[in-house]
Amino acid sequence: MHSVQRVILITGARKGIGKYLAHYYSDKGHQVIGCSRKSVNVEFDNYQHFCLDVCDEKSVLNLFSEIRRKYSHLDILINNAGIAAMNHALLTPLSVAQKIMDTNVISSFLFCREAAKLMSKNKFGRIVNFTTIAVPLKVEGEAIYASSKAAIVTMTEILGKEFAEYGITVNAIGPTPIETDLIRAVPQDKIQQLLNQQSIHRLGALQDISNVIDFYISSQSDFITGQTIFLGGVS
Amino acid sequence: MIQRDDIINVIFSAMEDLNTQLPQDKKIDKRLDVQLFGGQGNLTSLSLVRFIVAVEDRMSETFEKSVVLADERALSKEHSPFRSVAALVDYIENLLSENVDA
Repeated sequence: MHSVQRVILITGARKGIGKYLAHYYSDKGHQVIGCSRKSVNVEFDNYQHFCLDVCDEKSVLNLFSEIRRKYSHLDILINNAGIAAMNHALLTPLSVAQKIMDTNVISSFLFCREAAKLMSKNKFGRIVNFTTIAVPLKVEGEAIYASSKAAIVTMTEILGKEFAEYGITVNAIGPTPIETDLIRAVPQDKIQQLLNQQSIHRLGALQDISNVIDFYISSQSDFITGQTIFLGGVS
Repeated sequence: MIQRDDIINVIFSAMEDLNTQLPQDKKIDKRLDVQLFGGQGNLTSLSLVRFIVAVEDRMSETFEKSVVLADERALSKEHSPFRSVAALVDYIENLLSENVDA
């Protein structure tokens, strides 16, 4: 089946889920633009990388200018960049709380806003945000992280409404723990506790994520917006 | 150096773009004294959003400069830069000169 080549922007593309998605969509023949704070060592087809701080408005505006100049449009934004921290609330420094909110909420909003401006020209766009099962499970030790990701769910629902008239859908995915750098620091018994609360008691795989994103970004999914899918049967 | 006339042309170009989406009786005239938003303004809040996005887009294309028109100052200013085309031209001129100074 012939599929349209899309221009896809993926934040946090240097490692983990973002890196996997960059390769996955590049392999499918799409033009992928990735960004992260640090540079990437590898080069591959249909891929361009930008180094920037996703919380820095000026750098983000420059990135979108470059996309506009080089590709003239943007079809898909995968708002993957994020940081996690697991700590008791009484032991969480304010600077850490602030950083989590900035990276997970403010930067996601910034990318949604600028992406929607670019997408609105073509009356087509797909935005996928990242939340977590820690939101519905209300995991102890993740007060700030889960709160930031709960904000993503609400933001997704509201932006879904605000961007609908421009032909842009906004949806979110809430992964279970997945074998990436982000969870390596989390104790094994804590991970097991989370898995026990899922309907399907296993770690998520990267393919579980691309499967949901494929559904969201499909051109046939133009009637799907403001939704969040949690993996593993969590609700 | 971006001239005032260049900014006016960008705004008028964005107006043309917006007018293609507006009903005949809501189209806005390309004049400096035309009221945009608030009071006797011609734009609804939804049209204003479209217009701002169109102006930002044209500026990026024409001047290769990324600006966010709806910044904190614009939204809190007692005399909104979106009240008229002339006010918006002044505001953009100011914004661009600040960018150069930075």
